[in-house]
Amino acid sequence: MDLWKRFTNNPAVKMILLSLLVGIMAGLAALLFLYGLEVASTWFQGQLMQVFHPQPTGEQLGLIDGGESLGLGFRHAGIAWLVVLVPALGGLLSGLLCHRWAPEAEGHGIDAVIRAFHNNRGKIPVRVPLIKGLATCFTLGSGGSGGREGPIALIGSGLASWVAERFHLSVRDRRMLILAGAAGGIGAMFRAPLGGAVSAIEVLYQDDVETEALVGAVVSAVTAYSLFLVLSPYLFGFESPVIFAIPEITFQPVHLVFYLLLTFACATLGKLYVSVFHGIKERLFNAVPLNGILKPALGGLCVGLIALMVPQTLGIGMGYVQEALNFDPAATDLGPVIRFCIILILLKILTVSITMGSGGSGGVFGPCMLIGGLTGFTVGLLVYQLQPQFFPNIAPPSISAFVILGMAAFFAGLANAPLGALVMASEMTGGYALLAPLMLVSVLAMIFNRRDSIYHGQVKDKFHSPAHLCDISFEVLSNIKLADVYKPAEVLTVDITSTLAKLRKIISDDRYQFPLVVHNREGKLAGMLSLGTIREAMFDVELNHLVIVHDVMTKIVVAHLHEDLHTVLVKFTEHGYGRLPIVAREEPDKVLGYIAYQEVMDAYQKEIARLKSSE
Amino acid sequence: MPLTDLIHRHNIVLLESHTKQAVLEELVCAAARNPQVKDEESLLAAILDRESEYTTGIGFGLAVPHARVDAVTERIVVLGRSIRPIDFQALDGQSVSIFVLIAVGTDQHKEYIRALARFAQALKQGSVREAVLRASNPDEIYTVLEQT
Repeated sequence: MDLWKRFTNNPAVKMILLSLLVGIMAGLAALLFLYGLEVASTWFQGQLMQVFHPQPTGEQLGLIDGGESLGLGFRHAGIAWLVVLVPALGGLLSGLLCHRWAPEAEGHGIDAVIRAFHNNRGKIPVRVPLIKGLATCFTLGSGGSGGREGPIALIGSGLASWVAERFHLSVRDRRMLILAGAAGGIGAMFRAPLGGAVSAIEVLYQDDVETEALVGAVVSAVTAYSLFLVLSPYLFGFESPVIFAIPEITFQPVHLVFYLLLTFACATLGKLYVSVFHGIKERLFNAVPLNGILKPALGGLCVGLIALMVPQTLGIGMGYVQEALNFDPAATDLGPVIRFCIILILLKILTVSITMGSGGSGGVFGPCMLIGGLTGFTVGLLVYQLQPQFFPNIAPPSISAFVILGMAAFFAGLANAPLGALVMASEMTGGYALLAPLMLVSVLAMIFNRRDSIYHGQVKDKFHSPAHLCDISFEVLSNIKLADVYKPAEVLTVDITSTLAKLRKIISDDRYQFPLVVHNREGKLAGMLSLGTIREAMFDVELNHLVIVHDVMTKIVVAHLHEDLHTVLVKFTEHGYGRLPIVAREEPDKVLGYIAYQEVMDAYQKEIARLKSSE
Repeated sequence: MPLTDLIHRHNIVLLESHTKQAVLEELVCAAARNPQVKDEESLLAAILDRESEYTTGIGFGLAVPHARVDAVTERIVVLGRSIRPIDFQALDGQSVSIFVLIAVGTDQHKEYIRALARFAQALKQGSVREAVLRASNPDEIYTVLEQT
């Protein structure tokens, strides 16, 4: 117990230990969530609908058995009426759960984490991770289109928020811990510990990173990832440390020309994705006069109808990325594959937007991997076809490289998270040979899509986050001295023995300003008198000579000329005055003027404007 | 409302002192018998400090010594009547026979002003003062206050 106390007395050690605990919880939650998701997918899609998707090499869960998997080509699959109705049923169940018990669990979870961090003091009710997990199993398991990273991030963060509550952490530490929870969840689920940690601290801002949370995020992500690797062979029967298996890839600088083309394609599609994603939610589903419980069911119905034509749009679809990575362009007629992929990309954008926009539960990272990966695949196939004509002396880049780079570029652009995207793509595939082009395409995609973000809760930088308001106001105000903003003025003081009758005359003289400064017989500052404290006595003639200034004055509070504006602001908030008299350290009884609360705010605004214009 | 909602029966005393200082000490001593007075010395110091600034003898044989002080947790009122009038350096120069000590905590500004105003208003009425002066014991004074 003493050892525990000694550890926890050190704030840094305490946060590391709690991040470790959160990592364990997030790792277990990721295992449980993946298992639930697979059970739901097996039952809804495999057994009911008779639709079988391919699975990534590192995620052969073995729960779906009995049917031929779909590939990258047009093909009808499943029992038609069930393909239409089952996603609607999943949507209905998800809608019921979320609407009744956790409205926060609707939609994609990363935005909920971002909002909790910035606007809700890091608080996520404990019911949210439970409901989010269940609702996502129903939505995605039944064929709804979405990913698992948002839900697992929200589940990890929700558990972390609960831990923070139990250990009575400060608001700042709770914020840090929910990011550790998100990092743990993502790190385990995608077997990408560094990617999870970096994404969690990067996704909060468009132009900034929450560096303070890095240590906790790394500790949690590594713990969760390790636990996932240890237990997954027993639960699922796979041991692969990466999700996707890829052929050997080498990077040649000359291929950057093709990768730039790919970045442009991803950025263009990213813009389309963001506008369709937000448009369908705001203009379509928000406008539909339907109960919130039923909207995800309507979304599921639409997704089911689309799946009649292209069943590959159902569910998460990570297996199709594996199909693309394994594709041998020399062995197939590329025309139909390219046409199919373009259709699948566009329909996937539509179905994800419908599922999420209608209030279904899921994430957007998985679809980004699919859409980005298939975009890379399509561009890669086009390059493969055209390259011998235009660049006959250059060896064509590997199709797999295009798929990996497409995944990273697409997500980096949409999430404004280039570091997380490139690390995630490397860790999920083991494609570290592509680090240099990954960096380039991720950063370029982010620059192209700077104004578009899939995450509405994201703010520009720490300057725009309520989470850092105190730090920023402290930083700004403590750099401004009172001496630099004060205006000297004559201040008339009131004698401590003045009666109420005399005070009435003083108040009618506009040279006196509130709060009145009171001096005693020795001429020293003795107190202050605000209008609020004397209002009650002011009009009672019985008190004319019974009440004197001494009776109604309050303790003197002064601002010193050498102090900074943050110190002055603290005095305002502690004592509640609207203005404070200013004195110099050398002459503590001579009032040099007043500083008003509003003047401090004006100085703050001016300094912020100056800092922004100098950027 | 009668003044008795501001003062307890046992806080009405007949004073035996003959000087201003002694009267104030006697009033504070009576106040200190109440649990809301935490520190008798601090209360006396505050009352004397206030008195040194400006007299609370407001005339008509009435003085209302008062203070806001940390030594008091809740409003306390003590009414004392001296056997003989005492020189209290009152504003009208007259001797004083009726003393009302009012003390409140430092943050009980409203209660303070209201108590001062109510006692000053009531005891400035000649009939009330005369009834208090005529009373032979604290119970009779209390009865007068009940009717005021």
